[in-house]
Amino acid sequence: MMLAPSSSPVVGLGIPALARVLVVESRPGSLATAVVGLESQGLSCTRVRSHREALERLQFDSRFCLCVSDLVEDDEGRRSLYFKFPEMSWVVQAPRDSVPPMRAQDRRVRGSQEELLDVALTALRAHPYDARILDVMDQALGRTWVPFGALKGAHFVRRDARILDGIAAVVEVAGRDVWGRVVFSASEKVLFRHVRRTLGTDPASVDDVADAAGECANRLAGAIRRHYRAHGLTSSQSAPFMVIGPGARVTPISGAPGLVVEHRSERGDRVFFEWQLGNRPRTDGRVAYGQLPTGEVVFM
Amino acid sequence: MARSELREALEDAYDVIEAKNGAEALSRAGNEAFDVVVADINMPVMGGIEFVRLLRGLPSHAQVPVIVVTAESSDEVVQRGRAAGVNAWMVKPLSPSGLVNAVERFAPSLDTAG
Repeated sequence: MMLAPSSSPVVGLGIPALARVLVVESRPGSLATAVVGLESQGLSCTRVRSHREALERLQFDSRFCLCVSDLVEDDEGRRSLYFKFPEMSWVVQAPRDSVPPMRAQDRRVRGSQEELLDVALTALRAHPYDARILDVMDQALGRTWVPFGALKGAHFVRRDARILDGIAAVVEVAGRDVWGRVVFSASEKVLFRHVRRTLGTDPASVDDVADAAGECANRLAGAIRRHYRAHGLTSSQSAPFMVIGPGARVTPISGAPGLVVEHRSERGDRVFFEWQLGNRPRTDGRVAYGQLPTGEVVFM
Repeated sequence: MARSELREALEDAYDVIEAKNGAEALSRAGNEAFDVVVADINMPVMGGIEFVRLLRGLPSHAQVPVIVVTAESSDEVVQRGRAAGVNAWMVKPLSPSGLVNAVERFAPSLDTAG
């Protein structure tokens, strides 16, 4: 299979701009090399000395996409962190095998700080949670859904492939540096009401409201692309396609978690904007950045 | 590229038959013979990989070349596609000429076949 590209990896492409990393460094200097490496990629690192201090910090400053830690103890502080901030990925330097089990999305590194840095960057690439993209999503959903009069709701990360409500419109975003998928979801009832309010007509069928959902997904994908383009990451978007029905699924790209922004109206109607940023594993199993060619045919 | 753009890219040289999803394509393949199939992976009703797997079960299409055009590029999905019987994989965005070149690798155009 001709999947292995010849170009060298471009580390850092696709990592959300200004992504923030929490560094739990119990032994001063133990993660210094990794921190320098992360900061050289333009990432902002905040250092604390313990899980308890991390917990205190996160009470008023919760938007970290990754925690890099040299603490392997499964103490109450770490359990609280897991419980309260499930969107944050973890990379833990653990020289011994006897560390407690961690969540599936977390990484354990037994080797050098260089290896830790590599794993941390990989985790960031696969976990696009940062304040900037959330703001972009919130604003885009607000603008797209103005007639609905929705208010900001929850932000969350999920890996479930099932669509969040009865109708989902999906737009794929693809480019050399950014790959992902925008999913706009709402119930049939909410979409019927939306079409009536915006167009002043009664939709005749589900197809009519599905078109409206597709238009919303188109606009949201445009907002995502503009955000990345502002950071020099260009992409194109596909025409929307619809997934309809309870239990219907949209396969996640590369196992990357979906970042979801929810808006809800005063009457309880909800709409969801999900952004799944994909990564592209190389054939040797490691994650590569900006490698696989787009627009070229790969014969199998 | 949307389905209409795929059609525009190919219809100068080929007879192009469209289907909205895997289920419809499978239904048509049961009644007609095609020289090449171009399919997306993420489709409503029936996805591309399931479609290719079932298509390979039709004697008339067991060997027909299948080109996937998709934004999907994860190794896991590509491997599943290969296992199902996909012959070529193209990652969006792509140019019309790129698609035509890929199809030409598998099937003669109407001009040259005539």
